[in-house]
Amino acid sequence: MLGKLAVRNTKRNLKDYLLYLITITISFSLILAFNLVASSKEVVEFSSSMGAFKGVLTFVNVIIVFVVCFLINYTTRFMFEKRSKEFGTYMLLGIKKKDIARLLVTENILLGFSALVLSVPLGFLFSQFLSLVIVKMLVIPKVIFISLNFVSVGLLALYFLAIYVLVLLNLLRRIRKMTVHDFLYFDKQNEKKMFRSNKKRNIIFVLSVILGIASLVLWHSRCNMDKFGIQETLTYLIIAVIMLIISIYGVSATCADIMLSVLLKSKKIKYQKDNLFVTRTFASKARTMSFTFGTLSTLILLSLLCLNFSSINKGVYRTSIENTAPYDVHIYDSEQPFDNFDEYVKVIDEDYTINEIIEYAIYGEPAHQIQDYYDVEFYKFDPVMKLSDYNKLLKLRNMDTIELKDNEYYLVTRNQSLYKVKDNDDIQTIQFADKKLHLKAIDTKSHWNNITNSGRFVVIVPDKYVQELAIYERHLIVDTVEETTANLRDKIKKDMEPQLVWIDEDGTKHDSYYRVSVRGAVIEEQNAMTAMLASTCLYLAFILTSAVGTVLAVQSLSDSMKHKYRYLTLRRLGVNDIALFKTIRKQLFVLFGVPVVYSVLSSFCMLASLNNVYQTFLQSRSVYLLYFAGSLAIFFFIYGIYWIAAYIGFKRNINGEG
Amino acid sequence: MERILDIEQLKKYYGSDAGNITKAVDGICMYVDRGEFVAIMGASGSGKTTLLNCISTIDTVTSGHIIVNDQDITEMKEKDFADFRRENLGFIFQDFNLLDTLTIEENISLSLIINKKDPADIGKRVHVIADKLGIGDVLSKFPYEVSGGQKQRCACARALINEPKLILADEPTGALDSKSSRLLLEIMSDINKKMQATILMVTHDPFSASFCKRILFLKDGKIFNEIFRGEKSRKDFFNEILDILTLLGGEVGNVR
Repeated sequence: MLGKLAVRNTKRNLKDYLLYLITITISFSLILAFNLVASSKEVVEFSSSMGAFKGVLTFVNVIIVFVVCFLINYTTRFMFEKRSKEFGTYMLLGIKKKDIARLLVTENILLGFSALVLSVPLGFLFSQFLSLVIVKMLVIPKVIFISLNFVSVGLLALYFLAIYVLVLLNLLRRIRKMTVHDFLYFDKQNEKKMFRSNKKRNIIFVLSVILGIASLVLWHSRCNMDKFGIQETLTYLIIAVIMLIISIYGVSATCADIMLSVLLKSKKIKYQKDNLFVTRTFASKARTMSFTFGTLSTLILLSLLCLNFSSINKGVYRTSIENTAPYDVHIYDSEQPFDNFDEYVKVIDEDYTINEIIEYAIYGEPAHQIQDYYDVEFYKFDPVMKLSDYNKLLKLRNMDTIELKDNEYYLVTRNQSLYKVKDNDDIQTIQFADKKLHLKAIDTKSHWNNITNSGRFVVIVPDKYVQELAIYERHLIVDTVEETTANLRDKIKKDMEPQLVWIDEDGTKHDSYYRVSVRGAVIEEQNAMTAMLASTCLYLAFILTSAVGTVLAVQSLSDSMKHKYRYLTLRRLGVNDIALFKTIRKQLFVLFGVPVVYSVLSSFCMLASLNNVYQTFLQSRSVYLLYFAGSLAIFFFIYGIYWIAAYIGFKRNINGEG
Repeated sequence: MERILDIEQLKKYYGSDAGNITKAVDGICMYVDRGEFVAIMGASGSGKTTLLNCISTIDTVTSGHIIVNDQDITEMKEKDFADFRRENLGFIFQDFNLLDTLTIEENISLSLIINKKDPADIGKRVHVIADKLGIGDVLSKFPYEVSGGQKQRCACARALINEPKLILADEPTGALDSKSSRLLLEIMSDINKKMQATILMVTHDPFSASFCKRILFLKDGKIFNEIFRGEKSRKDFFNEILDILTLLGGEVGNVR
């Protein structure tokens, strides 16, 4: 009989918690889909960066498991509280607490298990879709079929088990503490006011707001070129985020109460339209779930940050390719004797029509007057390039060439390092042999990562000044008519192995493949990485947002059942349906809106600060605003679905029989 | 006469601060013999439900003893409560407390199933009792498909089927219309007479109470009066109850 009861209860719960079930099913399927893709051999072989992606995915999965755990724990507890009277009846009939606990565990496992079973085919389907997206992004002409492997399914089962063991242990602990009286009269308990004195509440609110502002200031203070690269920055950023989260909890716990007292103080607002009803309803909700509100706001913040990170990542994609491989093939050598570049050209020539070949040398200026501001501990010289070589490089990229007078030099540096030399009076004039050279201008556009291997800048001087200088590096640039592909890099690696691989005295193999860069290969890798990162961020954001939406929707749907009489009373008092539904919409709007406000504001501040660092890679200074708007749109789209579902369910419940 | 329930100096206080104690039940002594149909009456807040909750092991007592069928439940351990309730008590609530995932038949049979009775026997017993209570034709329906009166008769059948030593009813007619109330009370009175079921009912409705053989009146957690129906007609008894209630409304001093 207990088994039958469990099955029937599960069936009934299925109806009540459909939204919750859909959410956890999709969450489980996404976990499976990503694991399947990451463990698929065909996908991993695409690009060398997939290894890193696997690491990121593991980390993301840990976060997801925590979030899903929170969601399941919350809903289970919620369902349990809602049905406490039913459990009280069981106890009165003489069913032991132990058996009731067993009943509940069976029910939950039935519910969870149905989600798990459904999520396997669904996850399998998602993984095909995901592979389709990746293939599309990589412009690969074949379709990759992701096969179902049992390690991934096993991993999902393991996550499932871990989540349910935690949730059920927590539930059993609760049941053990409750008496039959607690069960029977649970719904009659008064809500507890979190703060007895208003003074204490106001102090906590003000302190939380101050803490929040302080955390954003701290975040902002680390977000500039000067400090962003430093190791301690990460620690400071983490501290800032922790401070912000504490502040979110503090504000969430107090704001509903403050809102209420402000609204109730003003008679004009209080008695206007349905303000009184909506605020009272919301406040009664918020007082009992202030901690949950904090968690929801934190999840929303994380979700928005994920979406923004995804956009920024897509935004830097083009810059990143230009910074890594602006030319079709680039090979350099910084160890003497230098490789004979003709052999490389021959290899390329076998498959490609060569358009142009440029060879240039990097000379070393021993006084290291500019390196002093960069990495003088590694390189005791300034890397120098001839003006004529530089102009050839510019011409190949369709950039305007430059001219230098005899007493002028030109500086090419990385955008991120610009602050080191910009407005620096000491380098306005440098001593070159016996001549004084004046800085004509600084350029960042023509710089790419491998322009030299000896620092993050190059000094361009008129050709005649380099004659006395030693050559530190040789570079080969090849421009092909056809677009290159990753195959060319593999071919060069294979054919030029004698030059690129050597074995030291201990017999260990070393390679210097990093000296070869092929644009086609870089684009492919970048594509894969962008696709993977963007989809992972979306995946995380989706699950975070759905968790928040589910908690709020389940809450409001259960309220609509529990407090049906409130709406019935309104109706009896003469409120017509249009006005009543408007009140409900307003109420849901407040319930869904309040946890969002703080998160949106703080994520915007964080993004604006981050823009100080990222703007150099992005198309323009203010493009981040567009990204922010896009992220908000995606967030509100998912969130809105839950809002609409909650609204429809709410209406159905208060219109329903019984 | 066999004593089913014996309460000695029962006290139930709420609140812990010295100045803020609510004496819900304040030194009650009472008994219920086998086959009795006893009502406890009193205004809201007089301690009726608290007293019933203490007897039904839902609430713990502050001091005093409650002896049900020779077992002192105030000395009993919490883990033994489930067994005790299952073997000795039947419950009827104001709001029925039926399980809405089970049919009426399944609701009635639940306690037999929990007691691990012979499955073949269960069906038979359910049908017998359901026919007696006039719900034989709705057995396969779910609680939300039947009327309030039928629901309460189902709850009544559920409480009866196990042949408990004591049936505790908390405002059983509270949610029913007058016709259903009367039907239910007649049934309760009937099972009390024919099946020798012992019933302790809490009510504030004089009409309901008039079906009982004995009535205890509670005021401020103490027993204020006790009347017996004896050979009186139900109508006379009803009038007597009304008289007492009128007194209850006034000061205690006016009565003595």
